[in-house]
Amino acid sequence: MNIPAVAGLHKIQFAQNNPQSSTVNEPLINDELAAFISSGLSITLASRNADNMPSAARAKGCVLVHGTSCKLRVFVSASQARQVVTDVRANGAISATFSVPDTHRSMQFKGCDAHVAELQSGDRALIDQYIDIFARRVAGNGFSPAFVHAFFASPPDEIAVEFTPTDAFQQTPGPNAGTRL
Amino acid sequence: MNTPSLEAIRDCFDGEIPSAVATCSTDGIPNVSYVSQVHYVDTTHVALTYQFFNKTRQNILVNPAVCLLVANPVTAARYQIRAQYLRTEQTGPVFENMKAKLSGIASHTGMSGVFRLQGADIYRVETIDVIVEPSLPSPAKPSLLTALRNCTQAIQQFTDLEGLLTGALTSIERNFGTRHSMIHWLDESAERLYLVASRGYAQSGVGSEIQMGHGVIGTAASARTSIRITHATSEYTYSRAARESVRDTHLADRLEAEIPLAGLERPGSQLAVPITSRGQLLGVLCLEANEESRFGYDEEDAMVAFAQHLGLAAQLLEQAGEKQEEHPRKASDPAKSSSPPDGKPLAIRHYTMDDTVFVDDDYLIKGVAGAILWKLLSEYTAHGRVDFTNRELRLDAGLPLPDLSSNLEARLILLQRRLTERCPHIGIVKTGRGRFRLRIDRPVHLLEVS
Repeated sequence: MNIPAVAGLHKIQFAQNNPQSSTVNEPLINDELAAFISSGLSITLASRNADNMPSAARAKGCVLVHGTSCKLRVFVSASQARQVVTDVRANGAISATFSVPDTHRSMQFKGCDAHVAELQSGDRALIDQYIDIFARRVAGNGFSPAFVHAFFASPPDEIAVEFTPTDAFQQTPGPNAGTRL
Repeated sequence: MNTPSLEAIRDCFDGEIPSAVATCSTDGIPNVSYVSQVHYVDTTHVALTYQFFNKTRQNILVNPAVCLLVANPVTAARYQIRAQYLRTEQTGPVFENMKAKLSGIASHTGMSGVFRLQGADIYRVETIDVIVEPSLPSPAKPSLLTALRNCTQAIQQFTDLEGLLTGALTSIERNFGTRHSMIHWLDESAERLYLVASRGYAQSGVGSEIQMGHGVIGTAASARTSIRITHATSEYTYSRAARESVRDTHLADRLEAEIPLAGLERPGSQLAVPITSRGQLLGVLCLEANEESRFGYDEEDAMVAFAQHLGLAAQLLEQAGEKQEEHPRKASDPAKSSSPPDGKPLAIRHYTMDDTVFVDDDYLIKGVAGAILWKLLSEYTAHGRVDFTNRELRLDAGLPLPDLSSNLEARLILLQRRLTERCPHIGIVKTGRGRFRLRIDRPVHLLEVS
């Protein structure tokens, strides 16, 4: 898998913030962004229950699904993400933050049509691939591949949470965090 | 799954692996972002940094429930914490501690200008769940309780403040393995601290000063809280803080700044702990290490306990010293124990305005320690006296001494060290508890400058 330069995110953000370079019907996720979110980033999902109590879970990879609309398919362990899965099943509210581990550059996608799906053939390979890329990314910070595999360890109960992103936000720590893209 | 206590998982909080915080707006839109540090406040509270008015902050102000995901950077264990936002603190120990730590993290991540703490958001922890059990072993660490026990035991043997402070640093190295350490004592003005003991530095730095509120040491003193920094930060290093704190101050203070500083140039980790006795601040103990993340929450707890023990020991010594001084033994004959001074006379200049003392053309000392030296030398030249007691100095109306008598002893240590380093022809030798002798091996010529 090709890992785009971290600067790729800059470029996208700049294009989105510059009226002259953005087009009216530009999809929320373009090819470059698609490559970025599949590049071994730290991914966390959040949902909430009927009382607006938030829930959160760390994900084990993400792919872009092209169909009638562009969707994000995020993998989690069903047991480790129990509350998020319950909340998503109940109301479909979702938020997913993607962060570059070594620079903390982050972005967040939100949606309201999240649902839970079984793994498809090839998904488990994507999960393994994600963990390997993530391990390479954090190796420079002193985390061994053994640590990363222990960190993502779970029962083989992974499932997918799929949603159509309707909003995207710059989330890099700083005064512009939360800016809508 | 079992429920660990908050202190059992606080090694997850220092930001090696960023924690995630999930919140929700009142219209049901969840939000999740990463935070650089979670701060352990006590067994049931944590604090998060408030740096910007972002979505997390907007949400907690209207819906205080949060879900935190934290991870241990060694064992790979992961936990989920449910908590409720209570309030934001913008002053005080928690705020100062987080501000100092954030500065370290900010400079570590190249974001010094961006990360400025506006407040410490305090949360009450409601539940802790294990998401992934610890699976990798933690390296075996020596028992901190045993180290603390050995340190507190070791300092019981000392009968004077100098021995106590030097001995404390020695026993810290021996039992905790920390090679670089220093102790600052609070100035009578309570506006500054001056270095009285150090260990493991190229320069002793004795006599160098730091303003309250500057650097880790000044902040630990002014906020009366331990400050622990796990990543290098130029903002809080002793040298930079000390240099900045004397800018725009009096000439005497700028002269003091000429004293070569102790302190590592680029410490990876720092831990500064107030030394107190019955709630009164006496000084600050500071440990440094070149490597990052050297001191964790457990080391901080151990040092806080030791510094409090040290403070009580200093106060007990002082009280014992005062009692003994009530019945001073007859001073021995000075003529028997010292040979007459010989050689080129030393020109000692004393500036009455701030008690600055120069030996020939070199700055030696100022303030209370300068006034003490001037008194001793005046007595010596007028009456040939070399034996003195702490008690007579304390009762001397001409000396600007504070109520706290440990300050007199600390000033004498300072004077003694500065003489050793800058003017070895004059010395102060302890002759018993609360008594000392002036040793002079060159003739002195005193000049008073008003």
